[in-house]
Amino acid sequence: MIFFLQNLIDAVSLGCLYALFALSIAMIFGVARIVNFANGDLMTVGGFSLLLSGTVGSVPTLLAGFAAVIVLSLAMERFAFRKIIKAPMPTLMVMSLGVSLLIQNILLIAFGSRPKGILFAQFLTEPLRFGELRISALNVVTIAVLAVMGGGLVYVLKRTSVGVQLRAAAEDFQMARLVGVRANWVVASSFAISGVMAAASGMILALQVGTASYNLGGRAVILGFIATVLGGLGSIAGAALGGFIIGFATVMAQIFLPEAVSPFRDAFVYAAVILVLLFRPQGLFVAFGRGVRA
Amino acid sequence: MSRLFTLLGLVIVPLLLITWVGSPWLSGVATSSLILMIMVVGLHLFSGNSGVLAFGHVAFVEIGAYACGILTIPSIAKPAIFPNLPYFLAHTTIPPQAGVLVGGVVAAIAAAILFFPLRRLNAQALSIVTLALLLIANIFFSNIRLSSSGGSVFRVPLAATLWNVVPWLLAALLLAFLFQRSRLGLRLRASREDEFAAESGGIDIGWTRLIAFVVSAAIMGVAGGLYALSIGSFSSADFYIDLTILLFAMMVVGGMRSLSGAVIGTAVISIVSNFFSKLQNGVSVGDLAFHVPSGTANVSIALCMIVVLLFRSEGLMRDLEINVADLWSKFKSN
Repeated sequence: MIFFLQNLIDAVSLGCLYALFALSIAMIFGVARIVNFANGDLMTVGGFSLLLSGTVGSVPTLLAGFAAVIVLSLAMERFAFRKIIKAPMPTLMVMSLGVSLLIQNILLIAFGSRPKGILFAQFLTEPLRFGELRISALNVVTIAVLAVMGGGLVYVLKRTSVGVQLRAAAEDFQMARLVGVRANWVVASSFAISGVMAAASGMILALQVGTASYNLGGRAVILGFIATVLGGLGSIAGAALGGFIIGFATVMAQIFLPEAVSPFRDAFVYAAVILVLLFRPQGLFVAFGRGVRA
Repeated sequence: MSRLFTLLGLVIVPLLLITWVGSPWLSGVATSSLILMIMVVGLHLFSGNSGVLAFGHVAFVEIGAYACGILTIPSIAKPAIFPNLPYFLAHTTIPPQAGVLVGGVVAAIAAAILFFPLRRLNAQALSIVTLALLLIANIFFSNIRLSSSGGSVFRVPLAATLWNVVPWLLAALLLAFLFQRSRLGLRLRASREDEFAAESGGIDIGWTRLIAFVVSAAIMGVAGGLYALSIGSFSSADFYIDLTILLFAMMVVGGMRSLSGAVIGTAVISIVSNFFSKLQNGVSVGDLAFHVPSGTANVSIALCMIVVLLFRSEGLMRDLEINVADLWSKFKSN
């Protein structure tokens, strides 16, 4: 029972983290149709921002981290994507590869290739004890962060004017413009919201490994894409669910796969995702015919 | 025809110059750039014609490299390096050029098996799924227990010299050129421009993409074999995101939809990145020695990509092909 609960919590927490990655990706894809590889580097910057905690307090560190990532995300939109926003999707994808390569190597030049140790909120690495159950505090924080971010996102999308515009643009960009949604504004807000998620993801990732390095977000961004495709391109809730499923499945694979093949754990998970897509090419949570059109 | 000769001339003439100069550093750089060019041509054949970004194509380079590497290592050395090889592989050694060919064939077979079920996916999902294939290949090759050091391969004979690579490159260019002009190529480009219209016109997009994917994977596999023969030892980490981004930079800077673009883009990025790599390793001007931090070469590649995409988003060549006959007639009419 304890073993079961223990793993269930791990699975839920990893699922929540991957859902956060996926939300960050899907936010931009839903509105601007950009598959943004540079999102991983936003996460990396979020992770590096925790290095500040040595000089300033925890709260200023968090604020500075979020601010830095949001500003970088907006700058990316303004200087890299705005001019070519009408280009075909492959062009936008490749632009994001270029931006990603740029940010990653600037970080490499600035901080070197060795990971930097992070001394932020050390209590997060201590396990919480409930009887025999030991839960890492970071797992609880991860779940809480997804709950807060997800809740906030639902509120913004459903209740605010920006949210209505974002949803309209995600549904039909051209039509939304015709009824008065300002294209640049709505794309920029999707980048800003995505930045918030990326900053949170990056900080959690950095706390998990205990270090920040220039390629911190590299794997996360790819997981985010795969989750988004699994959930269905163009569906934000679907992406989050897709992320959750992949995270959950990864922990389950860890438990149930025989020892000999456990190094190949992630390969099994990806193969399973591909298998699912063969039967539902439009993704799990998108009704047929409502997916993305080129 | 003159288009093809222009393309081949574009490759051959600089190489003759490099051979004439005879600097070993230069011909080393040229060899690795040519191998990259084969990869870019392979990538262009699929992605350029179909408009589907194949993020996982490096996996086929990897398959080719492993196939060629394992088969060409002298069988005397094999039991010591790879105690875990099956008997058949442990006791066969084939000549390097045959190894390259086998690399291409194995990659093509793998591509056919993998792509067959995927052919119905839409373009965006396909891009990401091929990326997932790359991750799977990476996990697979870094965890197989080939030798005591896991999945790395070494002592591959260093048989890929500059002029050994050239025939393969010319063959790849010829193949890509013929494909571009074939009915199949035309159909694939139609599906790139408008999936729905192409389908209503009776084109089976899935099969067309499948054939292009297999041909282009064969080229990637050949390039992988040559890579193995040029570097001697390698591991799974060599065939991952970094190489993928480099190939895309080369393809896009030149112009994704143009075969001459693949050649020119590779040349431009190779020159820029090798220049900065040289600076990274340190140079001395007079008695002043200096070097730039590592990462600079990649920054230069990134800036090339961003600048080209911002100001000429279809790449330097757009969808045009260089043709010496056109240039000549323009020159005469002026």
